[in-house]
Amino acid sequence: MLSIDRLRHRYGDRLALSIDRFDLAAGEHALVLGASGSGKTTLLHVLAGLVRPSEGAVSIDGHAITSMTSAALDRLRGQTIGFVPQRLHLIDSLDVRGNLKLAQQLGRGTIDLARIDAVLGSVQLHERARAFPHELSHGQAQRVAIARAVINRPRLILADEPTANLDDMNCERAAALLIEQANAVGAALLIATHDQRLRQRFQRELTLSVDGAVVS
Amino acid sequence: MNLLVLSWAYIRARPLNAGLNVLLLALGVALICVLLLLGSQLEERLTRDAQRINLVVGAKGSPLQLVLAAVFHVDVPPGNIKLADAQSIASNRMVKRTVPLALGDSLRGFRIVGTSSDLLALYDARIETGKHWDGPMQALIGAEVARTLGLQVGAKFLGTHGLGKEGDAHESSPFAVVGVLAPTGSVIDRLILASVESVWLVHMQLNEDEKPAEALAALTPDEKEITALLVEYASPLAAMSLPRSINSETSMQAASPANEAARLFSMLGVGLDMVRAFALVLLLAAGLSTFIALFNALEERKYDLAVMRTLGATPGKLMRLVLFEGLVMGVIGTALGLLLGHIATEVIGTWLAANRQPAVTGWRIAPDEGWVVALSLLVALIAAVVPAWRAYRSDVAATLARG
Repeated sequence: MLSIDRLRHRYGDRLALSIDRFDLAAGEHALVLGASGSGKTTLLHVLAGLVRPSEGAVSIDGHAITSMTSAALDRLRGQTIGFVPQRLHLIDSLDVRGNLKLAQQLGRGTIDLARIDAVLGSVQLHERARAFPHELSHGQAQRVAIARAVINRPRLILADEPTANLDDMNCERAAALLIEQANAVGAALLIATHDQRLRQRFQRELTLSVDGAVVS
Repeated sequence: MNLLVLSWAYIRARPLNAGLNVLLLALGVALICVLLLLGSQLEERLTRDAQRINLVVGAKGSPLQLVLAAVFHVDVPPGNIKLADAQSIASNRMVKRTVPLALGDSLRGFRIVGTSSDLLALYDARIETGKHWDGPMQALIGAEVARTLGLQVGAKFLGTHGLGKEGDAHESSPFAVVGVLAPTGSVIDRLILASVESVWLVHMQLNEDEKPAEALAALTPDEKEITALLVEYASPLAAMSLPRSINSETSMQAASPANEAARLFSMLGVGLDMVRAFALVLLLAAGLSTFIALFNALEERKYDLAVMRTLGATPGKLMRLVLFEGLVMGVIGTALGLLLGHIATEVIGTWLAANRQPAVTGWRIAPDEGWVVALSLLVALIAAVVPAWRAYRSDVAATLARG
């Protein structure tokens, strides 16, 4: 599903990311661990096709994204990748249903209301479908962000620090929901975090450091 | 959830800001729209009123004043001329038709014009009810006079001295309405027509036992005066020599309605150009305001745009989203401006009609309105171009990395 080979990325002269080899099969879940500045977010942005790496190869669902055109990357991102940003960034002027419709429209070009209802039901937000982001609790907003990431049945879900600033109970809920939703669509799940509490739920880890990555 | 819906959602999310921009644009459009409607209808009206009148002959003075008084009936005439002098022009072989005008009285702001039946022919006017006058103190009234004053055939009225709404009534000389003209859309709709002799009679002090016919017969040629003579040429060549000969060889002046109307428009033009420039400044201010609003909104919305990219939006789509937003505000502002412009023109038209001025209506489309729509939308689109380009060029990864 995901294959990384001799991936390097530099900002100027500074090496920001270095991974020799990492693979993730469909349905597999893994954590990307590392201290601040170790390249976790950069890795997610490379995998999402938002940043072109300085060198190396990345393949997602059989597509060599490092050699794809921008337009093809935009299409792949919309159809194959689900992204949960750290700050969630729901569209404030759209209600919950509108946020999911927008994701469908941008990713697939069509709107499937039945799918929206199903996903809202699975994240227990059916009754909040008409609520606007500012009317939601942080937990609810996070569930909307996860629903938005899986609405197009992606093959790879990327989540950036999804449990930052959450207490233990909510941390557990968020992780469980991500895993549940990834399993529901058969997607690979890669979570970038420095939250050690998540390690107990994931067998696979990719630890990044300035000296390079260690897979365990 | 197409771009239009999203653009609309963004506009609704900041109603005050968007509303003010739309209002500013609407005011600019409305002002230009009013100018176009008034200008086109006024020009049309002046052209129609003077269509068959090649020359106006009257007392020496301002030619513009003479034309305004005798053709458009909006000013006081410069003086009177002898009927005999005027008749000498009628016999000129270059003249096809002449129509005498004797002004001086009015009825509640509508002018009473002593004239001949040829005036009807100049405006293609026909009698809708009643008949033409066949004696003194009989009047044919224009359609607007009949409608506004509620006068019908058989009604009697007293003219008042002067051309304003207030004046001394000629108590001893009542007019009888003998006919009502069909509407023509020209100045004749607002006139009360009678014979020239009727106007003379009104201003004569008759003894109790004196009969009108005798009094008229007793008038000397020097006492028989009219205000102006409308002249229709027999040939365009008349324009070369007739005005010049009248102006240089007689005590009268000849004025061309076409030339004076053009002069009037050139004088008004300076003022109209200033108002037009002001309206354009308003439009540009609206464009600038929209630009600032979209630019600021883009800063507030940079994370939205970044997230949309992660959802598969192309840079081009983000650019179109911002352009759409500017265009949606442009469309609403333009539509509102046109509506305001037409309503304002209708209000002005109602006010003008109440003051016995040529009526204008807001319920028609000016010839150049399409250009106003295009200009307004172009301003809105240009205002959105730079913010849209910024959206296109935004660095998604850097934005998301900043949080």
